[in-house]
Amino acid sequence: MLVGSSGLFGFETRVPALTEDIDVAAPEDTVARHGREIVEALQAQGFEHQPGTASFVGPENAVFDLLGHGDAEEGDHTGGTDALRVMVFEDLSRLLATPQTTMELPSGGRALRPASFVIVKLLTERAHKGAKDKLQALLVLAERGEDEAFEAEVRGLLTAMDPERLADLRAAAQAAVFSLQKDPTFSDAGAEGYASMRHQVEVGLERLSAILERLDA
Amino acid sequence: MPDARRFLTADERLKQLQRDRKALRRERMIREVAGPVWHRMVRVVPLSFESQGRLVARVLLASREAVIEALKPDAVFAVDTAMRLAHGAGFLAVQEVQAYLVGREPLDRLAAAGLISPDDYFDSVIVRPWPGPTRLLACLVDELLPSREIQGGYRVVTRERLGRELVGTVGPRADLFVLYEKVEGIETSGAPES
Repeated sequence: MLVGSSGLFGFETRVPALTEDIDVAAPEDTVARHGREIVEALQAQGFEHQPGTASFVGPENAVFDLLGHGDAEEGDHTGGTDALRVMVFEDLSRLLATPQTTMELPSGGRALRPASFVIVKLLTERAHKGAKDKLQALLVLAERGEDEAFEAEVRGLLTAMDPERLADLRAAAQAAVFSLQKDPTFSDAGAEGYASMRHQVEVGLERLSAILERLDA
Repeated sequence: MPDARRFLTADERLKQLQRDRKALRRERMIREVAGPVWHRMVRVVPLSFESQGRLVARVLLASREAVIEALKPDAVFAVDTAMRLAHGAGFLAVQEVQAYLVGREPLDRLAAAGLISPDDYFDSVIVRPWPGPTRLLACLVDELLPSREIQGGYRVVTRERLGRELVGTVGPRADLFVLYEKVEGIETSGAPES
């Protein structure tokens, strides 16, 4: 399952991922049962396993990161075995528990649907990574603003969230826009390339607000 | 070469996430303390005054009031100046002049009258934590923004825009946002508690 910023490679979009890294989520129990085989299979394709991590460096230094998804009720935790230990994120696990949140890729494997990508990114808590996740989500929202089916999916996913997480999400989205507006050079970790898209990011926040207002109504 | 910091173990990633969650808990506490106003404020799409056009700073050589009066026919006053003109109270500690103008002609006229410096001032940061002279911060736009006329004949930004400018200037500051709501007489009873 293609996730993270590389989720942007999984659907039609003009929003740049600003990363060449590939994040892939696999079921936690698969990682636990087949960790060694996964490592060996990736090594056979030229990816060098970084010991102790779930990161693999490929030809031309492309980085391939694995993470797990599993039972959301277990919260954020680590999974796998010594051969391959992965981080399992609660929010991602909760979302992926519904098969309709993902779609098949023409080349095999699955990716987050655009609406799921937006929700995952809005929920991602990475203070050390600044506003990048939120900006990506807002840009996708802006880009697909006229797509009613997409909006209905976003609304459906938001409806399932508890009010506190919704408040987190609103605040984080607003903070991302504010941080982009206040710094003309926008030296945010890894998100500098989004500085020129300020207007689109604001449109994305307006759309998110409109969706949330309809939820509240 | 790839950055070595990327290659964290799962346990290190979990620790990092736990640190981030701690920051989130702190934010939730601030939200809790602020109460319902926080939920209203967070709905506002911030509007950056300086990004609406080309921002020019000039040092005031006369009183703030004289400069505002001289700009009256040309300007739509914004940010803190708009709130002070409309309600007698502002949200920034330092009283300067923020206004939207079309073109530089008003600046030239005020400079010729000795009200502002003839040259642009290098520092146009709106909220500056360092000392400096009192300035006119003019955002030069192609077309003046929607405004309302208040007592004295001044044009100031609309109520909705003022709220957006406030959040776009100081960020989500509940103490200042509640002041804005109060002076603007905004009805707040329908706010969700979340």
